[in-house]
Amino acid sequence: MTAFLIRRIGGTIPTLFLITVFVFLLIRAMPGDPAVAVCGDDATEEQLEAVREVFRLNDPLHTQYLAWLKQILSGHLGRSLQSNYPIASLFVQRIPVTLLITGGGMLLGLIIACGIGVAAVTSKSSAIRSACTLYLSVIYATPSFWLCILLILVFSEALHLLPPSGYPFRAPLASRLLYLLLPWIGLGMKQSSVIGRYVQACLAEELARPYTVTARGKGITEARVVIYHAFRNTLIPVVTVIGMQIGFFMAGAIIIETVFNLPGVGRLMLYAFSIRDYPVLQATLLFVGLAVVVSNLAVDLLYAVIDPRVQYT
Amino acid sequence: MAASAHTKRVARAVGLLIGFVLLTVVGGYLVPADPYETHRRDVFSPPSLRFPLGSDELGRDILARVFRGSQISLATAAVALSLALAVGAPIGLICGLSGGIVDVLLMRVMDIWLTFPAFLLAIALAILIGPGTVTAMLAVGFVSIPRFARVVRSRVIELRQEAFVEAAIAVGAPRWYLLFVSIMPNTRNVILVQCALTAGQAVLMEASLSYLGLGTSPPAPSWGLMLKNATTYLSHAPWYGIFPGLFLATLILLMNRLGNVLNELSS
Repeated sequence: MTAFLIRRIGGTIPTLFLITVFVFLLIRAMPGDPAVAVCGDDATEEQLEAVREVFRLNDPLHTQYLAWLKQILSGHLGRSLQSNYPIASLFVQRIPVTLLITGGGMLLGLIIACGIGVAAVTSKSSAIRSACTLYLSVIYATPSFWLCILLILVFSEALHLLPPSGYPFRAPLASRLLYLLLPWIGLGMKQSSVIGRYVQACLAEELARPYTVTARGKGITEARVVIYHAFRNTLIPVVTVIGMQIGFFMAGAIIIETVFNLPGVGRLMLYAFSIRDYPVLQATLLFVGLAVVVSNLAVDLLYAVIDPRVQYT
Repeated sequence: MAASAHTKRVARAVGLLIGFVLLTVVGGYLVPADPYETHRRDVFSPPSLRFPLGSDELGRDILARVFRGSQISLATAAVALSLALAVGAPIGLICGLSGGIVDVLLMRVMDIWLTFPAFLLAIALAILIGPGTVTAMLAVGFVSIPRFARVVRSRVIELRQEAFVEAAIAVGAPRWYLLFVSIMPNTRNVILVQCALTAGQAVLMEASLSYLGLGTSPPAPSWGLMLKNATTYLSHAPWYGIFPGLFLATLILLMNRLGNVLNELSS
């Protein structure tokens, strides 16, 4: 197990290295001069040159890259070009918001997906089975931002039950969670349509296998056959799908944060892009890349917990 | 399922999609209102005879804009699919036919390409090139390339085992004959299925990029951009947040449906 862990974690190092190179080059290849972004369009050449010196923009690319890498590894993400605020402090505020949105959305998505997926296969009523299948295909085709707009229209504008947008940092936790309910429902419903399709397909396949026939033959109740026998085996491909969805979650979080005006990492990234704040943009892109790699690693390790047959080789 | 039942489902899916596309594209020319014309006195008019789907924050007719917006969505899907097909299919053909180190190397590149979540890659590209409809088209096309390469390669490898291809090789058919006469025409079905499956994703991705301000720029009436503006005015004009999304979701649903039906038919 330890050897497997070391190998698997060691295997992500080249990927992480590639991501840092990709993010670094992406920012350098962007159109526009970072010095102009700092000084404004009417800056003189001397002012621009001074800024380039301060941010070491005149150094060769590999020197800039190594300096940046050294900076990240020492835990200093640099400062925002616009506000001069330390990027690490911006992250400390925003990462919990993004993690809360994605974590809650993922959990809710999984619960809805399992419920709908199981009902779509095992319900005795054909109307319920059709309704579940219809839900999965309609929500799958519905863009997440439109789904969230509809949720705001229903729960905030028409029923006045939940706040439409924003996130009060200083409010008590309970009222802050109230602001996250609609984002969770939006992200959760969208995710449930992707994961639910797999639950539906895999469960139907598992229920047709001989071991379920044997289990039924032994006189085990249908609910037990579905939940303890077939559903457990359904989880293995489902976890794979969740792993593949991590990047989608990050992208989903960017959209959800935009719709609900939530101060997460995704919106920080878009804001940094709109005002050409290169260090912040670079740090947020790196965060998104790291989040995808770390989550994939976590999913790999999770396989062994769900399916003991998975060998650590 | 019987072949005729399948054919009926395909025909129904194609019919619905064509009907919807015709409605939006032809409708754009039939609606008298100009999608760009502003009416300062008619800001946020609710749906009425004059503005069937209401008007927006500049008093522009939402129906005319929704119809014109369909052209942006469809054009994005068409360009993105063409790009993905033009680059992805030849890569798949080369890998499937040549095998060996070329196949291993190119497919490894495609795998790495696929590991990056498509939408995040599209965002990165939009950041690199700068916002715009063309950016959205290129970004969506770019992220779809490896999928086309993979399905075409798989089909070519299957075809290479077929008796008629082995026979052609046995009688000494040149490589160009194998490629253009034996292999290529038979990859048509998988390409068609992949096109239908990708089209919905392309429309969704363009709208999402535009919603984030990384796709089509104002005043062009992209559905995503309209919904981005609508989000600010939901309490004033709920219809603004409903109708563009309804058209967008319907188009994606019909495209996905066709993709799924064709996929079932081919497998």
